[in-house]
Amino acid sequence: MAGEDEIEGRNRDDDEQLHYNSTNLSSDWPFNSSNDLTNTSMAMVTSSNPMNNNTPCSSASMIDSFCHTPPTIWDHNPTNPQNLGAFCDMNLQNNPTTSSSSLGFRKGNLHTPSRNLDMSWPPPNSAIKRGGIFIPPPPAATSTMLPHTLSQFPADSGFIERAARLSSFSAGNFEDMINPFGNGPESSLSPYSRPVQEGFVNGFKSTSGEGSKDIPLPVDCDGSQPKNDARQGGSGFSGNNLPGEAEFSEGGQDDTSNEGLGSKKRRRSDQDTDYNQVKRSPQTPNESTKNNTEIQQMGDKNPNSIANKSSGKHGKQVSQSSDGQKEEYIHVRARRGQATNSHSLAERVRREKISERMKFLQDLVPGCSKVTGKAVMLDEIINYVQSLQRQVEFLSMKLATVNPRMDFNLEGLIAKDMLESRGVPSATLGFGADMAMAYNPSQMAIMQGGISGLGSSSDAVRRTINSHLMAIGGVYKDPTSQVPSTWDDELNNIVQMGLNPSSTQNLGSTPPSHLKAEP
Amino acid sequence: MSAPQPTSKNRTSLKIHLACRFLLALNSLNMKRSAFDHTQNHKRSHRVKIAAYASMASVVGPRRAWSRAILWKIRNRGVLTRNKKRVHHRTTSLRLHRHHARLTRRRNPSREHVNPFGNSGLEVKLRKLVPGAETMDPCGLLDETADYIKHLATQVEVMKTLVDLYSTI
Repeated sequence: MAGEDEIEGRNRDDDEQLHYNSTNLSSDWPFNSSNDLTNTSMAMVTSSNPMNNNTPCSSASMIDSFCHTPPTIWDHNPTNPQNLGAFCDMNLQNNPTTSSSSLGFRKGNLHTPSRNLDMSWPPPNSAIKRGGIFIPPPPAATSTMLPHTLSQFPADSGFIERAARLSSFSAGNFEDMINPFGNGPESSLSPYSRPVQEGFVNGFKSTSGEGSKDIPLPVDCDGSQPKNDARQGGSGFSGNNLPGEAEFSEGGQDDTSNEGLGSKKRRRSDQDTDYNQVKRSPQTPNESTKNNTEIQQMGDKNPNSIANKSSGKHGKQVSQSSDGQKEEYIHVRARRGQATNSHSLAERVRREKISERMKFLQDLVPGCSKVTGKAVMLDEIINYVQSLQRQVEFLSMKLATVNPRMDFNLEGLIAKDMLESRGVPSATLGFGADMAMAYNPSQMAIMQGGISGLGSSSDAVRRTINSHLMAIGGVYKDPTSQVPSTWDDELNNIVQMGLNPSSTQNLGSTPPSHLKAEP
Repeated sequence: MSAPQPTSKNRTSLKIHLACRFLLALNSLNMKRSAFDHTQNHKRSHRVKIAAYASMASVVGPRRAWSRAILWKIRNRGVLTRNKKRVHHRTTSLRLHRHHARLTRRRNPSREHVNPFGNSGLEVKLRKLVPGAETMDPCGLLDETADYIKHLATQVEVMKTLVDLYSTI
């Protein structure tokens, strides 16, 4: 499914996630700074937003935010731990079904656990009060327009939604909500927050009667007024409840906004009830991903200022139009996200490869192990290669000057070998090749006869044989000291043992297979 | 993980291969040299050097870029020396062309962005040192450099051993 791909791509892409959260924060902060009363609940938004920033996987961050925010909200409840545990379990259970989607809990699942929690897990929390609070919301929301009977729980869930993705709700709901208030719809989000703040402050003061700045948490409000304040404290940021509150306090400023938002609310509650029904069925991931993509699309619209187009409509129309625009937009987004993702992955792999090669080169080049920094290391490598090439030049010059003395012996050796061993094909073969052929076990007898039959001139030949064997083997680090001392023993070995391959091994050369491999 | 394990056995076998090749080349050189007089030491050392590089490259075979470049250069060396003037002219023009191509490539912003070694001329320097590394990506350049260094160090060891041997005898 394209939505899942997109969501996974979003999961993997840290930069995009960060960027997204940064947009959330940017749309968030003016709201926070301008509003004094909303600081109480904005603290929770900001407390959950850094979590989104910190953790790369946003589904985990979602769970984190969910698991962290409830204690601040539900502290007053006696059944808090069990309920919290059940809630977190619900989240964790929903998590694999939505294929660890980052946005899995945004709209659908975030609401469904909150209601399914009390419906499907009655035993852990025996609080009848909570059951009474939680079960009513869907029918109440559908029957009455005002979210009056909404408990704090869905308000909080909507609130956590906002914490995860502010842009979506500020795009859709706030604009819808604020549009009837008479503000210009094309302005940015920060102007929106002012009427919201006014209405909300008014409503809150009229209903709760407490100091607006003195409230650190909505939980404190709950101590005095159990239901209404909880709803207010939570609903101060859920776009649906806020206009209701504003109207409640100011005496019906605008009915149309309330209508539209009520219809939106009804639609959401319908979705929630659908989720309650569908929840056990295997279609849940698809549904949730669908809703995810829908909300994500709304959130994506917001920075692109497409929200201005839909700002003049009501909530339902917005969601429908977003549904209509959903498919192609998701496709494009998925493709782009995957492209950037694969690019970043390839880049990372390439960098790792280069650093690995650099490490290997560090081992090769002496004196390069302590050097840090690619430029310095590259300089060291260049110097080493240059020194090696210079050494080759110097050694070849030395060999050219030294070699003529050996030349006679080599030629003599080859000539005598050619005379003795008829198996060697041509005299133009090199010395190493001759030696390799000469040490074949089939030619042992011939070679032995040749060496034993040689006169005084064969001493040089044998010397060259031994020295070359040692040079080839490379085991003797200083062959000059070894040659005179071990000369007799090895000569005896060669002559009497019939050039056994073991003698060549004793000399320090490799097994004969290596020598035989040479032409 | 094959790269970080140049065991002693592997190194010894590589050394033996190198020594056999080099001795082969030296001997053929000596056979050829017997027709010349012994006064041209410079030319002779040059030939020994070429033999050393050729033995390195032939041991590695055509599976490495640097060995392919060396073999190609050595194989075409006879052609180059035979008609030297024309080829020299062609090489200068070719070098100019290559320089121009490098300039144009350098102007590409995406490639500039990818460069992991910064803007220093060290990479270009290294490309000049390692044969056949002019047109490689940085990763391949490092790979070839590592292999080239390994073989070159082994060749230097072999040549040192041979020099010690010949100087004593």
